[in-house]
Amino acid sequence: MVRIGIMGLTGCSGCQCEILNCEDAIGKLIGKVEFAYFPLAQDVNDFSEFDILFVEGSVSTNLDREKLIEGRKRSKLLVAVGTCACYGGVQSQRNDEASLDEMLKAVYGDTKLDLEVFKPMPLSDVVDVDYELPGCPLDKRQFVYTVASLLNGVEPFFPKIPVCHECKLSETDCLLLKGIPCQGPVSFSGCGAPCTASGVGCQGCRGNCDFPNFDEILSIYQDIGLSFDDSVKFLKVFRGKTISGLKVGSSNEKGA
Amino acid sequence: MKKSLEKLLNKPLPVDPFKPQRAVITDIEELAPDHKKFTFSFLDEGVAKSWDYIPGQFVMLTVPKAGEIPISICSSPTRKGFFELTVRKVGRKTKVLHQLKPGDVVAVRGPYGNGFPVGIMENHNVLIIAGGLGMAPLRSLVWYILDRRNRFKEIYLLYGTRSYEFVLYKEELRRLKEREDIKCLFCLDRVETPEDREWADIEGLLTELIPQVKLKPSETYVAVCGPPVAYKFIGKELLKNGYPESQIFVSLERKMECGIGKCGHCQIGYKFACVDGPIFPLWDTKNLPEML
Amino acid sequence: MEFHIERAKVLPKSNLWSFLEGLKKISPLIAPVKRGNKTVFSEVNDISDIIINYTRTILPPKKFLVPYRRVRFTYSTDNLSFSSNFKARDQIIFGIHSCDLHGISILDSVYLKENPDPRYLEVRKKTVLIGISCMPDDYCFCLSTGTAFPDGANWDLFLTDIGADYFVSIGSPKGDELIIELKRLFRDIEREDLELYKRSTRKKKEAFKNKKLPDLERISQLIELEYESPVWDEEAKRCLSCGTCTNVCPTCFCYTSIDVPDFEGKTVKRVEFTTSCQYPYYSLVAGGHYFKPTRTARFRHRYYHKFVGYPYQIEKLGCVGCGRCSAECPAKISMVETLIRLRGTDEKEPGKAAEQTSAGRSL
Ligand SMILES: Cc1cc2nc3c(=O)[nH]c(=O)nc-3n(C[C@H](O)[C@H](O)[C@H](O)COP(=O)(O)OP(=O)(O)OC[C@H]3O[C@@H](n4cnc5c(N)ncnc54)[C@H](O)[C@@H]3O)c2cc1C
Ligand code: SF4
Ligand code: SF4
Ligand code: SF4
Ligand code: SF4
Ligand code: SF4
Ligand code: FES
Repeated sequence: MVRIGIMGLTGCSGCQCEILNCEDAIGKLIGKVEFAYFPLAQDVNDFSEFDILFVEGSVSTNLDREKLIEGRKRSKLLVAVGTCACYGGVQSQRNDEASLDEMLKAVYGDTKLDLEVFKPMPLSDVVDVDYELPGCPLDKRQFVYTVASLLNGVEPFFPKIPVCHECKLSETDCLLLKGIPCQGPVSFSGCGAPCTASGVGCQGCRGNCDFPNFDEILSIYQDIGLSFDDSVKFLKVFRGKTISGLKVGSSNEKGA
Repeated sequence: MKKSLEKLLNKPLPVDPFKPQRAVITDIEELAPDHKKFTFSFLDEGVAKSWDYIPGQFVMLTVPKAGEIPISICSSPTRKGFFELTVRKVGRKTKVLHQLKPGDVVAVRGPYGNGFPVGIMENHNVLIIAGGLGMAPLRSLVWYILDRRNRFKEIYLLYGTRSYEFVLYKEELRRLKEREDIKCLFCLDRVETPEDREWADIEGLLTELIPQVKLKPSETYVAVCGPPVAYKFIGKELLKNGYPESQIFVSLERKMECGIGKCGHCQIGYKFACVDGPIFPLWDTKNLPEML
Repeated sequence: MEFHIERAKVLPKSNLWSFLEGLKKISPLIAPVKRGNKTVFSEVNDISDIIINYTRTILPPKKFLVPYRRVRFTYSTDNLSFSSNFKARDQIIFGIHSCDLHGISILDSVYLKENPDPRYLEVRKKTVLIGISCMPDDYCFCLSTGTAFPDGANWDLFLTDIGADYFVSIGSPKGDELIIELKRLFRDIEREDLELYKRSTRKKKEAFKNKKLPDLERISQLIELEYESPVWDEEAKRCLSCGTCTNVCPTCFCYTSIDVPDFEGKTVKRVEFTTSCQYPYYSLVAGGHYFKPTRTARFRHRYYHKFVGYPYQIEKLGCVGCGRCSAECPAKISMVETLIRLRGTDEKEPGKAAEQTSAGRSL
């Protein structure tokens, strides 16, 4: 039987909860696969070996790192689930602007930690990752599709199409044109664009689409009244290191 | 309403061109690292009987569970009852295909595309230039011509690969080289091992073989298939040697989803590679931007 | 039995709602309805939701002929037998503007000319298209594309606003049947109606007088000759490659197909989804090679396909001037502006690029 593991590193466990919410799919899976390791959901767990290991969360401590390296050794396939695991997550949005000391001080003050802590990293900084399923949280349908594909020995297919695709095909009136900041044009779709449908601009929680045009989107944000710095901060929330290089204060000029 | 439009709607429902036919894998041969040749025959006897194609045409092959891929037919229509495809393992779908075994069933639709203009090549010399996997569709042409040898004048086959290891159809080509009715010139990017030395006529690129061909360019049709980067150089060299650009035919690869002019992916300039190609005269580079 | 040929009827405006009610009784009725500040085509339950005077819907009515996501086949992995439980339903689409009717005619050619798609044909046979006249806004340029009026398109009925009434042109036997079915709502045309009808044509043309319109004379050749123009780079720099322009276009047809297996590996669905040539993966092949690697190449391709590709492929321009691509572009890139820039303001044929190209194909 196919052995599946689901483990969490530094993250909110939201993605693991989302996996638990795939009730229909999990019902169908039971009997075909063995959830050997899923501490969030079961008491008895076995971390010996896996066919597929899903890993949530970013790597922020030595414990995370050891667990991840160990997991990689024990699994044939390793899938990063959620934006933290794929890009570093919201916790890494200032990685290129603040030092580790500044970060620790801001969060823990002078408390000493008996852990080795470092700037949050995506899994791919530490081990080889076979597939990435970004999203904050990850998209249930994509998880189900990925599991189904992998069980059949087929790699899942995720072209990095922008969120505008799903937004426009669900006939949502464009927010950007109404002056509401939206990251749809530079973000990786697959979520079905629920945010824009409810009137909230896409926050880019799934990271970059292929070749995002940041110059133009920054220029549009400034046209609708955001400052350059706010535009950059907005874009950086979820993108982790995939947008490093774009810094607050790096330009006062429009679209630079 | 225009007559032409009215006519489109007043037709009975056609047979679904997307529906493939089942075929069984009868043989698999490992040709080179990551390159396998699959032999198929259709399960339905009627289909097997009526199945015909032109060298240079391709099929849409359903790899079960993975999806459809366009693959050139590498066998010749002059040999009946089966057809062959040579596939390199490069990605999602080809990986799954490479795991299949003889006896496994796949689905196939086609043949699609225009194929080489074999009719007008008759009574002319034919110069065949293959690079790497480009040998696959050209193998179909080679055997088509050899099986109807008296209809054609002189035949040359130039074939270039990285090294001997990557040469496809090794034994078959060795035997071809011994024949009198086709002249074979082989080159390798790098000649290092004794096997390389035994195989290669020269160490170098296909472009260096072209001047060695002793044919009257105006009476020659040229068929080229190779990796995308090679076309520019081969085209240039052929023109330099006097071959008319309307007599040089290249086989081009594009992303393809449907094979029948419906999905758009394969467009080269204003043409669809799947229906207007994949064989194009070199002359078309004038009209089709980004063709080469 | 009495035979007489009628080319048109008159529907008094006061009967419009009874007409719509009548249509809804015959088949599911699709019509423009409000969504936020915009209008969309949607199946209607309550005819009072229908918006008669609108300028443009976000998506064209195409979505009721070719769904954006569709299951082509289901196949079993045991014996690879392909099946489809697709069944077209009867439907009436009401309130389609002239440009969109022309858009559907273009789709008819795309799907039915070569290798006809039986599924599209089945849907088309079961769909009644009822058009309605309209006035242009600043994005419309149907006068340039020759699609401002419904002549030469594939429709069943067309309603032209002539003041107190609609002048109803009958385009097909299906349309005729509807008129017969709802006969009591119509009256015969009179000389005066015809005069008003002719005047309405002039009125629409006049509405374009102060608008920016691209000159599409010899547009195919112009685009071929200006293939290397810096205008492409300049416009493409602003393009987000978001694909909105093609997703909202009534004539775009590109799709990608994927096979989705179930958990058991017993059945597989072959799913087709609408895609766009503006997405990089669109031209990606094995080995990581992009045939349209740059934003400029992708941006230019849309124009090239509309104005050079379609004329070769289906012998018609691929653009019907509906203005959606410009109205919905998040970067506010305007097709009309690009075309005008490309031609240049002095109306001279471009010189520089012409010298570089050895041969131009004229249409
Ligand atoms: C007319 C025609 C004839 C052909 N004939 C033959 C033939 O005879 N033999 C043959 O072997 N092939 C042939 N091909 C090519 C063959 O169709 C392709 O190799 C095949 O479709 C690849 O499918 P795949 O699913 O294995 O690869 P895919 O998984 O679709 O991927 C293809 C490649 O795209 C790249 N890729 C995918 N995603 C990304 C990404 N996000 N970033 C960067 N790169 C990426 C990868 O390099 C990958 O290897 C032909 C093609 C055409 C059009
Ligand atoms: S609302 Fe956002 S995602 Fe939707 S089309 Fe506009 S920019 Fe794209
Ligand atoms: S619309 Fe944007 S923020 Fe919302 S779920 Fe999708 S990617 Fe995330
Ligand atoms: S809608 Fe505008 S920004 Fe988006 S791809 Fe089209 S031209 Fe580019
Ligand atoms: S290209 Fe633009 S204006 Fe032309 S038909 Fe398409 S959406 Fe309408
Ligand atoms: S190639 Fe682009 S412009 Fe042409 S039909 Fe496809 S999506 Fe539309
Ligand atoms: S492969 Fe679909 S249009 Fe050519």
